[in-house]
Amino acid sequence: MTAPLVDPLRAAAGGDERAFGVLYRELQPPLVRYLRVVVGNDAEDVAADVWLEIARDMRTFEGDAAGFRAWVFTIGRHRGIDQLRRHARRPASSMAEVPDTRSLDDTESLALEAISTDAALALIARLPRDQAEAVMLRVVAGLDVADAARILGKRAGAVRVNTLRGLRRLESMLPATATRPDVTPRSRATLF
Amino acid sequence: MRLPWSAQDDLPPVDAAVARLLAAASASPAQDELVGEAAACAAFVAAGPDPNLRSAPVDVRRFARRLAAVSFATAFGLGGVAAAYAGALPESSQRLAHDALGPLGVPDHADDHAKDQAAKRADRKKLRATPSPSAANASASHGPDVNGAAKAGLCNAWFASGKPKNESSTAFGNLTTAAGGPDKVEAFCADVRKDHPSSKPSVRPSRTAKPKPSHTPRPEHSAESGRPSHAGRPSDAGKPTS
Repeated sequence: MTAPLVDPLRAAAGGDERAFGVLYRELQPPLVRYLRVVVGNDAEDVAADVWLEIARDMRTFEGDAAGFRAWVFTIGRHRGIDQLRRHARRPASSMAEVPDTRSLDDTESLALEAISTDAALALIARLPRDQAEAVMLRVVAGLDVADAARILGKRAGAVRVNTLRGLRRLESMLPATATRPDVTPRSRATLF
Repeated sequence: MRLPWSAQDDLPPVDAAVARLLAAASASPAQDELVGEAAACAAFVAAGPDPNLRSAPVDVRRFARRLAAVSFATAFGLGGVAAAYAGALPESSQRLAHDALGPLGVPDHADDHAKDQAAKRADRKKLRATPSPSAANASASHGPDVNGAAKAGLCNAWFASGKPKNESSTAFGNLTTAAGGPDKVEAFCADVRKDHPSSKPSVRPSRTAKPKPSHTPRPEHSAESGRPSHAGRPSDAGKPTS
């Protein structure tokens, strides 16, 4: 039985491996999901490289939880962009061009049952790049406007606008799938 | 609907469908999303020292200084001298020598080695009567004149202990060889002490040696101080200042 870590961030910076594992389990899911939207199929590889860099520099980290989160995604975005440049792949299309049958099945499940994480990310990936990134960093990664703006290289106002537009567009995407002929009105009602 | 991952209160309100979608995007991790944990933790462990050894960096520096001091002592023959001291000197001088050389971490079991070293030094000493400027230069390019410094220490110790003529002592034997005979030790040491007036073993180059040209770039020549790429350039180094 191990005692819970009071401050995993400080413990990890002090070399505590268990604390580092806690940080990994907390930040890896949003990181790899952000990378899935931005980079596509190489998301896991890029995320692994991010953690190598974090591991290397962890002991020199000074900051709070928000700062650590921002650091992880700063590295994540840089490496994601590097990956894209190496492979010259457009980000939004990589998930949006997943075989239609799978994505359609998942969007249908919106109406009938809980949407899966993959399906949700596939929809977000259909947004314009700026909106997709803003939604992922603000909502899924939990970064505040200032940190997201810094990571995206944009002004705070632009981040707010992109977040709002992205959410509104998602809203418009969902009813659209529900209006497909083979979707029953009953399922449409469950959306609202 | 509160979004589990987001701590932000300034996100725009969304309808239930989008809220569910965002909740799905932020849902608890699936197991396959955490498969890299072991590798990440291994990299973390490999990247740094055991946290229980936080003081290690300091110890490494101290150890490095001691190591340098031992190398210094060995290179300048002080190890052999110290061992010779241990066998030859009266108690008071022995304690003095021990105190002076102890911090250098000189090993105390090097008697035989010291004898070999002393013999080698004596042989080299025989080959040249006095340190000539060229010889001193040659040794200056590799460091101070070892024999001169070692001999000064021995001579000083010998005088301090009342000029004993103990034939069986290593130190006296070393001086005898250098001087060319037990009766010549006093004269030899008198000459040595003229060149090395300090009572402590000196490792500074003898005064006949020319100063070594500096190969480190002087600050005024580097265009941007602090930049490693400039600091290493020898382009202007070594030129005598006018």
